[in-house]
Amino acid sequence: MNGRALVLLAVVAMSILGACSRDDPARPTPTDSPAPTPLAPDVVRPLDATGSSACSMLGPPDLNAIRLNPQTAVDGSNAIASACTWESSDGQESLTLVLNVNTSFELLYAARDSADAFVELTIRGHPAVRENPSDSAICTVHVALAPTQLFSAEFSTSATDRPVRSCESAESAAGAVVDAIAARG
Amino acid sequence: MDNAQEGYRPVAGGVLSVDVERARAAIRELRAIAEEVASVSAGTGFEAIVPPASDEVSTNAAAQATRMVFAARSYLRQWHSDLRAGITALERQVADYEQADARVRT
Repeated sequence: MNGRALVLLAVVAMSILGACSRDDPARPTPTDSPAPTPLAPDVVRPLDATGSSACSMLGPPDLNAIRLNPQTAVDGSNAIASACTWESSDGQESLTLVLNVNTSFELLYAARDSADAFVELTIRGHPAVRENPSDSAICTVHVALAPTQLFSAEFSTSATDRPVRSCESAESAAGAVVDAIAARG
Repeated sequence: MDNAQEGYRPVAGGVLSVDVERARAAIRELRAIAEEVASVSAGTGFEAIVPPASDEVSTNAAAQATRMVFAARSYLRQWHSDLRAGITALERQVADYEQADARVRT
């Protein structure tokens, strides 16, 4: 599939870039250059999601509200991020939640010129970004929990017999995730 | 007239027959592809990109990787949108054909 090839290419390129940028004692680092101006907004009330599992972030009421079946949770976590996917009972709609407690919200802002859209939002008081237009059938929302902790909620629908509400659903799920993490203290 | 295509048969005027079941199978296949494309998009979460260090070189590399993910996801989103448009058009054509066929039969 062409999409898979493209993604594979991106992953390979990322690996190469990652390899080029690893700490190397022999390589000079630009320590004397001025610190770059922060691009992303501050997180006023940071939350700590360390040790949280993406699959435990949404309960049946949250999932039912966006037409997803709580029984369909699939844990897609890896060494870097915790991830979980739920589907609707007919399999035509899905939500993927990716939680990373060791990254940077700044990265999104540094790459904003490559996004379809870059719409700044506030979700439960937390800075967030939607990377696509509001009528997209695949809608991705990124929310900063802290400067180095964020999660994304991507809702997609392949159904053609109902209105597209992917962004509404993604934002609803994102709000529920912030509530869940805040409740854990 | 180009008869080079294998299996080409001239069609007599006045008769149009559509295999509705095959059209529906095509719709199901297109929908499965759309779901797969959405699944690939969901698997490209940029949150998997972690700068290996906090120096400028590392963060710039991570930003470039994020750009590539944004671009890949933009491509997948457009492909998904085109598939949905194709499914909608096929569904409409099948519905129209069935209506017309029912009218002819009654």
